[in-house]
Amino acid sequence: MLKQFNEARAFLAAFAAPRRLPEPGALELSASLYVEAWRRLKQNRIACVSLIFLVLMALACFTGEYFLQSKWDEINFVLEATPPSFEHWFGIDDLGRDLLARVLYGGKISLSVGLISTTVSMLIGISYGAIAGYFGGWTDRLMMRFVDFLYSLPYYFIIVLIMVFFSVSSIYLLFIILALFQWLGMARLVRGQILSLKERDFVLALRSCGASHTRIIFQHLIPNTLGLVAVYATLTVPSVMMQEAFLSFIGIPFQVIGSDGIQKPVASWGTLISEGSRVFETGPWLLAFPSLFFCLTLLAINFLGDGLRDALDPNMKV
Amino acid sequence: MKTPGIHCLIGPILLLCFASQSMALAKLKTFRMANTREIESLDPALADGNDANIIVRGLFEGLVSLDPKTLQPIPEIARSWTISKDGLIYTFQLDARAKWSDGEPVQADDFVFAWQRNLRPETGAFYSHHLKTVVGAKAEGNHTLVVTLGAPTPYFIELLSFPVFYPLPHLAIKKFGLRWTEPQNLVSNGPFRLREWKLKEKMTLERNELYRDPGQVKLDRVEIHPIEDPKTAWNMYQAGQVDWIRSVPPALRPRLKNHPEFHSSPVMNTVYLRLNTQGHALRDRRVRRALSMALDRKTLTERVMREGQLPAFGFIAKGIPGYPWRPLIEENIPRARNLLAEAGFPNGRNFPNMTLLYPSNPQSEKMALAISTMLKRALNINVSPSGRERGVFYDKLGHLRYDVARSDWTTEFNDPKSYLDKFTADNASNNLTGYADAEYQRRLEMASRIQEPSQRFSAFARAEQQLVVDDAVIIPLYFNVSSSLWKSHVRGLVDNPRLFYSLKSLSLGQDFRSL
Amino acid sequence: MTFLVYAFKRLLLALPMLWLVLTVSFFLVRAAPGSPLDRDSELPAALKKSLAQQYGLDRPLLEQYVSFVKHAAVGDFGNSYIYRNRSVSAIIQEAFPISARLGILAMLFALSVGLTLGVISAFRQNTWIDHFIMASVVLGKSVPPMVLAPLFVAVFSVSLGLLPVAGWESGTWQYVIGPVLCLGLYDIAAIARLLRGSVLDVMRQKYIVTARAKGLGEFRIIVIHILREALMPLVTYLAPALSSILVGTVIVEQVFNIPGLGRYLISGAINRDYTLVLGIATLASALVIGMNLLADMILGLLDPRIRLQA
Repeated sequence: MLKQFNEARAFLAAFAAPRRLPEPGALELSASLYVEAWRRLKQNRIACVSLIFLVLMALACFTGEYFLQSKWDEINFVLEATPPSFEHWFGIDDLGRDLLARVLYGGKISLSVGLISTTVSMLIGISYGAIAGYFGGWTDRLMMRFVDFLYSLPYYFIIVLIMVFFSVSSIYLLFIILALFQWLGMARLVRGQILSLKERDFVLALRSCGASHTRIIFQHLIPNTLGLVAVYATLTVPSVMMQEAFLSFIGIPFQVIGSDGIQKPVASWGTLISEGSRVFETGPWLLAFPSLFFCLTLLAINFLGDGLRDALDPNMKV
Repeated sequence: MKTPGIHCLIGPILLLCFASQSMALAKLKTFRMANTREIESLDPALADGNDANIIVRGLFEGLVSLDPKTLQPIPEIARSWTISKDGLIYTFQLDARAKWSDGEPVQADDFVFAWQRNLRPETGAFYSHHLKTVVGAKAEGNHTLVVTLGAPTPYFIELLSFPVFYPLPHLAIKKFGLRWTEPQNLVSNGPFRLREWKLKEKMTLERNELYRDPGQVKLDRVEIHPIEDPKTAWNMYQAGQVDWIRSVPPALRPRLKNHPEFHSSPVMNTVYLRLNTQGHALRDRRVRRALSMALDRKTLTERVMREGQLPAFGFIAKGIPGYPWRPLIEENIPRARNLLAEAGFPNGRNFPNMTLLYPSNPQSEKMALAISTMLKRALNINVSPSGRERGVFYDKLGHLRYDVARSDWTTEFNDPKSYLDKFTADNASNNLTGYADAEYQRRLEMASRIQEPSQRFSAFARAEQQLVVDDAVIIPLYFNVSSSLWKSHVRGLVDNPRLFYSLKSLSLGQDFRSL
Repeated sequence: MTFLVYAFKRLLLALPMLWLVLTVSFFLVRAAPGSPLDRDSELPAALKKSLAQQYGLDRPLLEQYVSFVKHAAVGDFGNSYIYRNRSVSAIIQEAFPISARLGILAMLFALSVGLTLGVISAFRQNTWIDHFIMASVVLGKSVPPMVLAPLFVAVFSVSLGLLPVAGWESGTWQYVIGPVLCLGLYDIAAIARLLRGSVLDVMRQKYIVTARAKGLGEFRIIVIHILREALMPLVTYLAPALSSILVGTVIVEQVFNIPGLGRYLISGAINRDYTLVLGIATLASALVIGMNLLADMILGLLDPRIRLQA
């Protein structure tokens, strides 16, 4: 139901299977290789512009509310939505709320959803995948079947049940819900990498020296997969943001404490777009601004991800 | 490995270029309408809601129908009827021309069969409770039906227009069971018969050649497109893909007001808030009254909902002939604040945080946000708008796990009883407020027994006063309006408060262009 | 022979998996609050009770589960709780071909455009053409469907009047174009990038250089080597992509009013139409499992080493 975002799937297709590994050495990114990668990233003009754009966007979204007079949820009973004006740069919506404040606030939520859910999913996915890959055999098979199993469950009901179980529909729950479904891909990716890494000589050497499994996994194997994980994360962020938009589109609402201390439905880029698309004949600006912000951010993240991939391994242009 | 040829790539491109299917339709008078959703069933007993009723009334026919203009009963299969002096025995003379589409005659037996079937629990008919007004039905010969009621029911003839009272083809139902409504099995007696039904895509009705009064039917075909998204419906209407849409995107509503093809009418649907009278602050009727008084319904309808809704100062919508309709609720913020202070919450101090529960959808969300803001500003209390997924919403409502909840009610028949019976103590599934007041119950029972119409109505009016003002169990917000658009070549469509539409009376004018 | 044994083993493993998914789905669906008897027009209590009886919802859950599994094993999911005269299988039989047709066409569209762009990009590596192609496919997938689909309708159908606004009309081509383009656009970027990478990989390998040196035509090099190289990741990619696109996509189906499975799944879930949801969920997980199986088979055929690993 929640569609795995396609680019992420393509990436998985290329790297999750242990069978299609790049040349030995390409993955063992030592500290100096990360420095090298950073240098290459800096040379990539599109990626750099994207990075700067993202930083500025995040700054605007997270600090915007301190500079704006209008609050994102402050309702004024007006006769109709009005287009951008000097007073309200992005116009106001049909409940008299300032769209600029809403877009910035929505960005804060959407970016947080993207970042937090991705981070949580990375933590779960990396540990799970690394353990499965490292121990291999039955452990691996069982753990991976479990991932397949989770893939096939009807998500809608899981989400509803989680929300009922915690008896809230707070936005914080959304972070967790999205992370819960997003780690599956990460686990597959890391497992595939670990499966091949553990056959390398240095792992055998460590083992013969009596290093513990935990140490081998967390100190030696996982750091070697971080390059790919970083790339995959940049693909996960847009995916998570789109899923958040989708959930609000099909009527699974999330709430947040508003500026007046009252819990209310959250505004995110996704919900703003859904709202905007319902009124876009009468208020095109209500769709245009959130869409523009959302698309540009996705674009920047995608470009950054591409740049990161090229930088981490110029030979692996997948 | 075999070499994959380059045609592997070209093939798909060619596949995309499908040959166009010819759209050659004969010059039929086809009326294309949009429904707001796919209907659950064509079985008159299982059909529910306007979307279903429009179609079912096209396919089937009962004893009487309503005149879309006046909403007064008009005879259909019943050519005439007599009512005994005590108002308990109705004798109907049936039209001998009535036939089923398989050629069998429609007889008095078919009604008796249908009513018995629809009363059986395993049928699961939605409106079977209306059948319970009838205690006996007997066919005297083929064309006379004698019906006995348990108590005098002034609106009984109107009730008969409900599809649950329609006759049913017992042969077909016995033969096909649940599958009798499938296109190849369906036998009907109305002006149209079912030609094709592709679920969620399109239903096609065609003229029933065996209809008892074929001269009345002006359309050859009716196409019904179920379109859930009002924006899609509006787009299809603009592009000329449908002739009639009954839902307009709310945002477009103000702009469409002057559109020549736009039609709107108040409907008998009241949107209101249920209050949980068991809740600890809401147990106090002063608090409930304060909430109701603190709202600004005019602002809500004109500056929030903006679809032409009318502010509701009572529960019962205008439109019941003879009912002493008047605004009951007084909006008065200072008084509301006083009431709240009397109840122990001066300036909202110590007032518990409450939630306003609503099923998550855009219109309800707007309403809830506005109400929350009004209550905060007027009474300084926190009522947080809390949208829930549909199933969760009904679960919470059903178990009384809410403080304030959005509800709406469409009257089933044009009588105050249909509104006020909801909140009696014994009507457990519909009440859902925890309200059980003996006085209210007594008032309603008394009112129901009165025969003289104006006395009867004023007794009901007193009960309404108790429900919405004295006890403030519910907070009426606004009366909904219908919004629809139909093309200028469509003749015979009439807007009415009950959304009672009849396909039989439609025709297409000269400016109709055949496909 | 070993391949057949391998295939058979995988198939045997798939069945208990399907059963497990179904079991958990059954209890998940039933644990959700609300019931198919919740209707917007509120029903009297007595009626609700008799309806519950008719549906068998009043029996112990375990008993309902056993009867569900028994029937599901032979592909019978009973009648829909909402469309009461229709069996779930009949609904799926009507809706699945529609979603499948749309999904396959969208995938073919994405494949044909994606492959072409990917190859062009690789052969013009690091030129402005390459950059332009790669940037535009990324742009294409950065527009979320809830913006893209309504915008497409507004421009091509409402303003320009080139295509019908919405509808399906048994899949007449004018009605298919819009949804196919909107659905396919997202996969183009992934496919193009995948192929570009594969082509670059192959071009660096020694045997291609040799083949070039031997004077084989460029065209034959593309066909034989590059496509063969790109096939494996492509198959791994397409299998899950297809299984999710086949069961329909809610937003596009809703905007274009297409009677596909995606809308049934969502409306079924919202209305708690237990039988319908479980029927579609079964189909969906069977597809996921089946497609993965198929992909592994194809990969097994392409590369015998994989069989040994598994």
